[in-house]
Amino acid sequence: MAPRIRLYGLRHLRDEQAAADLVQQVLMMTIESMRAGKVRDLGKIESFVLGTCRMVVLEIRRGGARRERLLEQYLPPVSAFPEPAPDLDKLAECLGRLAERERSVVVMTFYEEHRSEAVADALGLSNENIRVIRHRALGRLRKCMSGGAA
Amino acid sequence: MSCANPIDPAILGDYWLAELSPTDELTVEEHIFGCEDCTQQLQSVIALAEGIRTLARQGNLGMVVTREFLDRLDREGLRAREYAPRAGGSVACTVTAKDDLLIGRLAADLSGIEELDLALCDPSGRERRRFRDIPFRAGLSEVILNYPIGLARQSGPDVLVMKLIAVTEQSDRVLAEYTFNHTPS
Repeated sequence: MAPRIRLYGLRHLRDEQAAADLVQQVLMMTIESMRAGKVRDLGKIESFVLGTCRMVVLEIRRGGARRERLLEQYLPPVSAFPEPAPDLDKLAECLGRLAERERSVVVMTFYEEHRSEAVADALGLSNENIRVIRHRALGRLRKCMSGGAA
Repeated sequence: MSCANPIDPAILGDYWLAELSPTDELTVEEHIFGCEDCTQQLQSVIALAEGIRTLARQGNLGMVVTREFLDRLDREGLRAREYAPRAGGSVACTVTAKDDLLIGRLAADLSGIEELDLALCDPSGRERRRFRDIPFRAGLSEVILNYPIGLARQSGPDVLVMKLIAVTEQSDRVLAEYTFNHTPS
């Protein structure tokens, strides 16, 4: 469950340390809730954890004090769950096989984590066009990285 | 893969970029929290994004970029060596160990152009590589190329001619040529 909480944290907080803190906080709250008998159906633990993630992220965004209290209480660092690094030589080769527009779109998008509007404006393309190009490029990249032709 | 209903990685990319509707985002998150396979797929999308960031920072991706993109790299502390020969002109260029990026800025009148290629040629005119159908924003008057810095570092003295080419169904038309006289540092 911890890797999923971390991904949720990365997605919504865009910060590795904040995501690690979220893992710690959500797991502690979940354990506390289980001990207190608040989690009645263990078959739905994923929903409980997701709901807790949402609540905590909302609190973090509001600058909630509870997070700080919990972090002070449970300071030992959580272990990281880094994504396996891709083969960069292979990735460079696969990027090189993309069409120029695909390469520019996918690099500018994922480098800056820009939404379609920003990349569309910078490259003189429509939002929908950017999205289509990105989808196609991502598919080709993944295929190429797994050994198929881009 | 044991997930009976795996999420398309393109959708996971949209999710990562916060481009899904709130309803779709909720659906994806509920699925991921109950699915090991799609968690791994999301991790691989994020890893791909991180790999792309690493390669871009290394300056080894030959691609057309924007001024905004270079500004972002500059804010991150990367040092770009830029050359901007005028159309029809030439420039002496090199690359040093301190440089992170090698940038060619090619000024041209792009008004009315619908499709644009960028060719990298020998002085004799033989094409070494052609960037086909490059993206460009109407109204801008230059194309910015991020040249793979590793290639330049490995290169001995060399002359590279870049040509911006307007492409139509009928023919190719060279808009401008730019000569880069490279000398190792």
